[in-house]
Amino acid sequence: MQGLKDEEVMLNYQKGEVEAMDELLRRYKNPVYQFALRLSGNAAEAQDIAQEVFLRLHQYKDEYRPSGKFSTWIFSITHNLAVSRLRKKKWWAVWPRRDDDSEALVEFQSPDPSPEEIASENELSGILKKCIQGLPFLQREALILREYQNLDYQDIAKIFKKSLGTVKTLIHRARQNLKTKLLPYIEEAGGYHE
Amino acid sequence: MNRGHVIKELSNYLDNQLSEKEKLKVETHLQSCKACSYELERLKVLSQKLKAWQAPGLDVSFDHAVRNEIVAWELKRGQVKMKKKTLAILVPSGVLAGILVFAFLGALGQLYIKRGVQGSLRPSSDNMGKQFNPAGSREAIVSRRYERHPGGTQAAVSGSFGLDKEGYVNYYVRDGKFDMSTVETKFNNGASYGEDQTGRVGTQRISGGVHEELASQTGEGSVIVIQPTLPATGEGEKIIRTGTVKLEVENGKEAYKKASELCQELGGYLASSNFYRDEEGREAGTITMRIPKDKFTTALERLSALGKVDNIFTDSQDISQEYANLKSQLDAAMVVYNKMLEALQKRQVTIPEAMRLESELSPVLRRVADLKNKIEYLNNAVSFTTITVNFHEPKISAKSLKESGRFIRESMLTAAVNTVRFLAIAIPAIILIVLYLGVGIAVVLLVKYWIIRIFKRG
Repeated sequence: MQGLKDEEVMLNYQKGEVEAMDELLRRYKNPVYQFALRLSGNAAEAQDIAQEVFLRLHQYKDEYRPSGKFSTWIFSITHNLAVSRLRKKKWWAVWPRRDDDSEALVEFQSPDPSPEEIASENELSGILKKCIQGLPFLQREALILREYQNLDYQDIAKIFKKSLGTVKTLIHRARQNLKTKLLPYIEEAGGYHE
Repeated sequence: MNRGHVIKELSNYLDNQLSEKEKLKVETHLQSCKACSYELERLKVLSQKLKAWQAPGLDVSFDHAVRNEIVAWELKRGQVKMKKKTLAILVPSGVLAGILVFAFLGALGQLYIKRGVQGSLRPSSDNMGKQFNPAGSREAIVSRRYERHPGGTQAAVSGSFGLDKEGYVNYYVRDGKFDMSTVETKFNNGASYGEDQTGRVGTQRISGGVHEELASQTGEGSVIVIQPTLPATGEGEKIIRTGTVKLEVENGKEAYKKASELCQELGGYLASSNFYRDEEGREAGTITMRIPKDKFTTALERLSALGKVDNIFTDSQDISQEYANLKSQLDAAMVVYNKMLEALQKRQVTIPEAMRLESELSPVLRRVADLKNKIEYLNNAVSFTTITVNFHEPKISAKSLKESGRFIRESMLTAAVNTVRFLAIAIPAIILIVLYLGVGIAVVLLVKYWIIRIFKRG
């Protein structure tokens, strides 16, 4: 089972091999959980999402077709669940609107960390967390999928059900936003060398 | 390639998402543009810094939790499937059962209509006769009156049956007792049956005071044939007949008219009549008619044809003895009267004696007149039978259905007109409300948009 591709393991599970779920859990429980955690910023919620992702995987196993990557499929489920949960929580905050993005993007912004907060953060990871959480929802999600899950733009476009151009714009803007927010800290830390 | 375009493509270049041609263009530009090279450097550093956010992983308890979730879901799904399966079995079964019951009841109804009132016979509490218990809702009570006849045999001399429109009634015999009906018999001249002192059941034809056993069978499953005959009104015998017919008719007025015409046609006359409409608007009435005795059966049959028979009840009262007594008394009185009259006519009597004889003659004369009146009354009662017809319209008649249909059509028309009127008033109001709401929502969205813009700028 360990030597098989993700898609083959999923097909085995589709055929009724219960052990295949163990392998899928071993391979994907952490990526899915970490994706949900970076997206929501809440460990308990991330665990709930991850649990529900695997339950959905089981529920819809018969609908899986190995035409695409398994990772794309499982992250699509995670994306849909995250969006769904976000909408349930703060539907008014995720109201589709057009501001700086040309596409009608579903966004959710956490308050930006103040310089005092940034200054008080000892850990770089803490600062990053704050800054990433401050990005609009789709920018944040696209950036996480790219930077942490190493998905290419095509896969991210499939997950979002959007065009490749949109994904490029999202990632570009996410980096620009993040760069602006992290600039004071990075320069202070001597991150940039001209 | 200008600088702005390259900065936009730097992120894609960093992620290796450019085509070879685009990649070459960017690299060429980077060699000559320090600002863009610096920007690329910053992006690379940013990307490296992002790796610093390490998220923790999940332990094995997560796997157990997922498996438990899956098991719980499967169990729930199994229950749902089971419910669906059960419903899938129960619903068609219920429908099928309903159809079968409906068909069965329909068949029973057809049989009921075709064969008339059916039921079972059981001994009455006084053991003097049998009770006819109708299987359906129709009233059909058999009453019997028994008299002791010479020879010590009990026999029915009068009685009636619950009959259908065609006058059929059926009976089983089990262990020598009436139990249920199987045999049909036509109501021609009235029917009677009796049970003799040994408990044997048989069919007897009663003719005047003489009865004749027609059939007598015992044993489980055996059947007797009842040949109904009314007490015959032979020479010298006097029998008063009465009958009651209870009918369900479609049209009360028409039934009343037909019954009256029938009475006239058969040479009878209406003794009394009553026609009314009940609280629910159904027409009903009662007609009591006197019909010549030889037309009694014909009258019953033709009256039964006027509607659906709920019940026919006939009764006979033998007044031969009473009539004979009156006749004897009249004869005796006439003898006395004639003798006294003869004495008066033959003898020369003084005035006081004549007055005494006349005063003695007067009671005899009154007695003779009284007896003659009674005999005349009995003659009339015997020669004309009394038939009472009770008729009523059914609870749901074709007429009331027609009226209901008309009422529904009128109601629907009124409702439609009212709906159109309401819509004519409501639609402009709704349009106005929607417009106001639209404007309100637009204002709220604008305010929200500006607030967000202000916060963003701040």
